[in-house]
Amino acid sequence: MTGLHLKNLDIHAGKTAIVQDVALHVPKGQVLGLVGESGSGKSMTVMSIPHLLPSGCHITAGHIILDDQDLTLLTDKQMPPLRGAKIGVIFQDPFTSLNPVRRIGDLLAEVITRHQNLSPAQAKAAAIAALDEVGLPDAAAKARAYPHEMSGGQRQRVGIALALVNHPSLVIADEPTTALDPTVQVHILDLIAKRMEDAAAILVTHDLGAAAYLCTRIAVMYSGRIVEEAPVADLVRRPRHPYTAALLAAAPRLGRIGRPDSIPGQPPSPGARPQGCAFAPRCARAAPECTVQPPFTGTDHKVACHRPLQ
Amino acid sequence: MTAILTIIAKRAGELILLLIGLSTLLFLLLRATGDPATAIAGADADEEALTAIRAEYGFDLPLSVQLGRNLVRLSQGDFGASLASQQPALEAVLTAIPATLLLAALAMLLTIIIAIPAGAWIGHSPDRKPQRAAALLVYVMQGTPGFAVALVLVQVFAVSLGWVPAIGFSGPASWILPAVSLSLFLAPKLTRVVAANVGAARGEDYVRAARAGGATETEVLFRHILPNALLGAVALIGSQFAFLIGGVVVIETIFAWPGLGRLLVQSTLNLDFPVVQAAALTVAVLVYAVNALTDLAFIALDPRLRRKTAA
Amino acid sequence: MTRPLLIPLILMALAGLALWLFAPALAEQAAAINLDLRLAAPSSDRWLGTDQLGRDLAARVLAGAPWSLGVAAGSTAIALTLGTLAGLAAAELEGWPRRIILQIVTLVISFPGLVAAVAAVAILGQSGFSVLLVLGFLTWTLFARVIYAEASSVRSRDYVTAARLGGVSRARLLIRHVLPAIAPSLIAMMVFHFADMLVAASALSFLGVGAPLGAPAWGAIISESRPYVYQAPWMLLAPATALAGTVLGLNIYGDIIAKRLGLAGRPS
Repeated sequence: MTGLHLKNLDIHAGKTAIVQDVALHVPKGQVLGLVGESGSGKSMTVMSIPHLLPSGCHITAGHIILDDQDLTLLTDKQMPPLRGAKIGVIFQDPFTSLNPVRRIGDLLAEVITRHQNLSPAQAKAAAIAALDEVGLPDAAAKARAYPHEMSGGQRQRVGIALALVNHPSLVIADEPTTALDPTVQVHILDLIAKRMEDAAAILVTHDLGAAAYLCTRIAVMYSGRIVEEAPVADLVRRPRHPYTAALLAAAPRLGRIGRPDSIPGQPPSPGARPQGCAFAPRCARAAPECTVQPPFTGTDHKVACHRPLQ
Repeated sequence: MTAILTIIAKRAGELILLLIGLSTLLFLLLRATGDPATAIAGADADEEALTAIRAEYGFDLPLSVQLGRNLVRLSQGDFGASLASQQPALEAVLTAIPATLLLAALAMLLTIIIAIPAGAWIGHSPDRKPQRAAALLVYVMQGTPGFAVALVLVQVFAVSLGWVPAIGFSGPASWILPAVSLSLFLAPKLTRVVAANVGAARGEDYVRAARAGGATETEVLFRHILPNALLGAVALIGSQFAFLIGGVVVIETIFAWPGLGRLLVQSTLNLDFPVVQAAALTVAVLVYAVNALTDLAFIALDPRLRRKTAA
Repeated sequence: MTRPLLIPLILMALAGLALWLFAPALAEQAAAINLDLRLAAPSSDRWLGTDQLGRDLAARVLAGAPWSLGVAAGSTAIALTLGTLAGLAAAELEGWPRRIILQIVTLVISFPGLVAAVAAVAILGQSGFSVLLVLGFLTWTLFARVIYAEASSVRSRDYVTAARLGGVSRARLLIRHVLPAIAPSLIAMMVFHFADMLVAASALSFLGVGAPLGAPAWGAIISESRPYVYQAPWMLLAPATALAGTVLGLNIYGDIIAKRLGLAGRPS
């Protein structure tokens, strides 16, 4: 088994279940989009892979298998050698995720030398090369620069360089374009696609459009669970879960007159989930059987719903 | 280049205005305090002697004229002579400066050595029991008046145990208690600031990103958290050092330390204006310089404050 | 402020009142020399022991409280008033009035405090009042700087700009918008300043400045204890603990207020 497998993953914050029973498979060379509202648990899910959960949150059940290695069996102390080498993370906010008092080149060189046996001069050259590969002009000058001297888009390119410089097997991109101008977003997504080589990748986003653009498959999360997972085209044209359909209907689109239909109500807070399907209170198709948690079924197009569309 | 020169010129101008203002205020204040002629001659000098003294020193001239003459002499670097000892006032001050600077430097060094590691240790894991106990200790120490602590220290280490001399300025052994007393006074605040900065930095995105790049906890602390956390500490260190230069009077009194503070008190009590002026102006210049240096240090250390290079 | 927070203030006011009422009687007891009981250790009779003249230390510490606390309160009041006025004025007025105020602030900060204290006492006499005046006039700059910074930032906020554009007068703006916004910082600073002034007053009385000879100001008592610390450590501990305890309590109270009022710890 290669690539990434998440099996029956549970994450708790104290006594509350934040993420429940998540199962995902991302083969090498493919990008999985993980889509959902704020608070759906998508960031938690991916951050649990390199053991970067916020304090107080723990994986309480399940397995994370990357390249045949079960990461849930490793302690926190055993993780640093894997981070930056086997697993690369691209963060959301380029304005805060680069150390403001360090030069860009130094930050890169630090990550490079940690996992490759290079002399300082070689590491420096490798850093400049990495900056060049992410499309930054005048890479040598950029290496000497500080983060505040660059625009958001440029900083995010640095973030991508940092995550990918050691050719990881898994790339986690946590909302990499949310903080950027729309004109820049597409370029960043293109860059990720180009530089990830044959790694497996997960793109976390609340922007269905971005997911559709970059990903092979999309998984939709709601209130801590995966409710649907399918190839992109399938999901967008023939959504089976009512929540996915509502998300698609709610997205504003150019050329369409009138307000998009927003979904009435709010997702439940993690401590106050209803029995059974968490979306039922807001679902137009809810029925008495929805008070029991629906199983996650399907072959290529999976859904967790008692009364799916189609 | 011209930008830097303009800044220096502005600052220098400010300083000169400040010194003129200080000198004038001091003159008026000391005059209001008492009659310098009596201070020189003694309380029961006769009228003849007083008149002679006033003529000799120019105390009988109108105040504005005396002020003016003083300012003119100052601009030429002439601080006059002590009314009490006839020694050049500036000399008395220059003799006292090394003692105060030594004490200030030692105290500051000790404070930094204690407070930064302690603050980093507390700030890194603020919720563990040992760190919480330490934070409480720091809190209590901050509320304890420095001179009381100094006295207790003298009692224990100098009088009871006899390990170090209690007063005076002799060899390095005599430096210990005054410096330790001062740093015990300053360290709690610096520790709290460092702990707070480290605590804040821990939650920052770039720390998480550093971990994601494979940094171990030690690497995260030393290469990422501390450089940012210590920036804030620099401001406090600068202001504490400036405070030390001007504010060590009580410690100097307790330990009979021949520094500027004691000189100021003595000369004020003697209404010895030239020495008071020389000492006060010197302190003002030193404090001003320390503040300016602190500002410069900030600019040097925080890349965000520098002029943007073409990128 | 909510009611529980006000309790310490009320208690302090009541204690102050009690001390003031009983001051004459206390002073008498504090000054009562009893040469048979010199340097006596604490006992059930004399809770904190006696000093080198046989005077009851507990009575002395209590009798010295009004001086120290009164000076601290008075100087804080002066510093608060002057500093707030100066800070608001500097924030409000543009151009050279502001620059003059800021220059004055720098001047006062650079002024040697001890010289001013000694001089003031020489002019006005050895009394708590002179020390109070000096401390107040030396430390108002601390309030001024913080108020200036905060008032400036409040003035630049959107809702104030909106009010100004809507034609609200300057005075009303200050009273109804700026003052309430800076009030939390002011209150917290006031408590911390009181504690600092207490220490400063004690340091001055320790050096012999401001307390009439023999008066039981805490700093003076500490100073008197120096020759006898080996034989009678309680002479030092009694006033030192009173001072340290009060200062610590004030700091804790200040922190609680600051947290309650939504500040991130000590202002400035």
